[in-house]
Amino acid sequence: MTTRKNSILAAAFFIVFMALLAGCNNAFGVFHEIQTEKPQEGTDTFYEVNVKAIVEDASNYYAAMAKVFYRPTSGNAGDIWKLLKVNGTENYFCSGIAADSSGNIYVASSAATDGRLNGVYMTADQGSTWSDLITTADPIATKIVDALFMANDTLFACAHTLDINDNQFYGLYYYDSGSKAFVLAGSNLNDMKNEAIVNVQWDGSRSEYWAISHAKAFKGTAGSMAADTTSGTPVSDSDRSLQGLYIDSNNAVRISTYDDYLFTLSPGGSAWTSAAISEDGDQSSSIHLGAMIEVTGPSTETQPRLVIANSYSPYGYFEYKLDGSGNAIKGSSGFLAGGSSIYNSTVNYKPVITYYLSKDAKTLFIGLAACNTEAYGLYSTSFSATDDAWSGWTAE
Amino acid sequence: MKPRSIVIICVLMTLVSPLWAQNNEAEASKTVIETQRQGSQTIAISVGGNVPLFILPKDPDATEPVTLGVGASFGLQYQYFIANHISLGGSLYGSFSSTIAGQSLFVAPISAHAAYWWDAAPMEYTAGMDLGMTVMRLSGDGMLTPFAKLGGGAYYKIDEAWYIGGQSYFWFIPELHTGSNAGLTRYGAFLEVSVSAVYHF
Repeated sequence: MTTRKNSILAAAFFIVFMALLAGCNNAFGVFHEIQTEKPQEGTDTFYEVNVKAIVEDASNYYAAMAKVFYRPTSGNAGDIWKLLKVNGTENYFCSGIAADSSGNIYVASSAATDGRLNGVYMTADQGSTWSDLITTADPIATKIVDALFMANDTLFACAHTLDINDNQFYGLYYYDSGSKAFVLAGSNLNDMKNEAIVNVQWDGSRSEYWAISHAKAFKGTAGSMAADTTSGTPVSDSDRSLQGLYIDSNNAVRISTYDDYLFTLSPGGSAWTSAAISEDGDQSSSIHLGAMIEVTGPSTETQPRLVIANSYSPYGYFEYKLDGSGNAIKGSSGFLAGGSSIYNSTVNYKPVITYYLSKDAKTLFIGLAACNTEAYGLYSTSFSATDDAWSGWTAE
Repeated sequence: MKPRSIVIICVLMTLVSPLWAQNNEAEASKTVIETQRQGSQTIAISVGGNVPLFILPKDPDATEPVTLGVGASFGLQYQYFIANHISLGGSLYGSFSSTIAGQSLFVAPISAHAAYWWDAAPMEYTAGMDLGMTVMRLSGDGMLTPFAKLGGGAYYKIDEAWYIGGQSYFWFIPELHTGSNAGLTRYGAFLEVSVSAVYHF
């Protein structure tokens, strides 16, 4: 009996020991990480929040959460962000924010109580005066607005209605400056059941807009957008959903998916190609790709990189060379983060919602879902020409 | 004077005081008290703080002089007296500390313990050392590394079985990396200062 008991104890000890050993990472220096940490003392405004969009005008950066906050572009990370009054009130819920190249800021303001749309307001003077784009006859006037997108200086809005079973019926609209009203972006982009639009981008090489829902991709001119039928176009299935859309500087259309693939449609290409995004180049069930943006690195880096979010623990992002050469690089080893320690104490373990690269391409913001993480939801990193390097993530 | 310096001085005084008591002990009684006789056993629980002392060698990329805060520690220890005054046993400890960037360092050593005990009623004292392994995890990633600690405690007799007091141990953690990651090798040290309850049976 004693022998059996000892055997069980030995087996249990062995299992615990092996479990501990399996959790070890020889490439991760615990004390090294601690030694090289930097304090992250952001403003309380962004403590444990979700930042869903960042835009910029001639004077300020604007970050959208439930409300919009702003700080001067001439300031620094850690400066105070002030609450933006929209159409004269602080009592609103920001359903979406966008900015055009002329410096106009657009905010979809909804009732904080029930999400009913107050209006889509535009300001050309940093919030001093506002005008409402919505008229009573506007098709989105009675809908719930989910997001605003700006592409090629055209304002798009994703909006939905609910039925009695709480099914959501989404539509994508664009603002027609001629009729001064929101118009359906395509006749089929209406009443899409539980199919919200994730992003809208402008494809300069084809002179077309692209949009994705989690189910499929759409393309076309404003008012004539329709589901993409290009050979190999990604569509959702039991494993796959579409998560990110980006048109890179080569005018290649990029779509990231939940099942760890980056789909690419080259300019003039007749079919989509795909590549798994991971450090070893293999598809991984524990990597779920998300939002993307393109950044340029130090002069030693000949290729710009796509920054591709991983929406599965440990979250964060990968950096991936634009020409697809080599495997993806974990964010902690990339050129944006400023070192593994900074990456692990800022971006890691928080899902990436959005990025914003400043107009001068010198400051990159990353908006995170930081709820309950005892950390911040907005960080930035700046490129120094003197140092020929990105500074590393710093809490805003 | 910095709080850390005050803590260190208090701990040194705690460690040295048993040596004075040891002299008195020789004069007081030559008999071995029951709780420290061969065959006796103890279980001790402790709760306290863990002061980071150093991490060496220094990292050239480090920009902040202090990056790890004082943490909390807790532990459980079993000992068996293999001879009068001399015990062998095991310790299971845990420690949480926060970094300046808000990460959490969790250290969980499991170790073999050897100690020498003596008394000067109503106090009893111990000095001992541990050797073992520890899990270290920093917000999800971690290492399994060797572990050693050295120190002692002083306890006041509550009744025949229970003593309560304080203890202080110097923790030494060599974080060893191999191969191409050998450059990540560091040596860390902490000072544990705890209140402790000891049950003899």
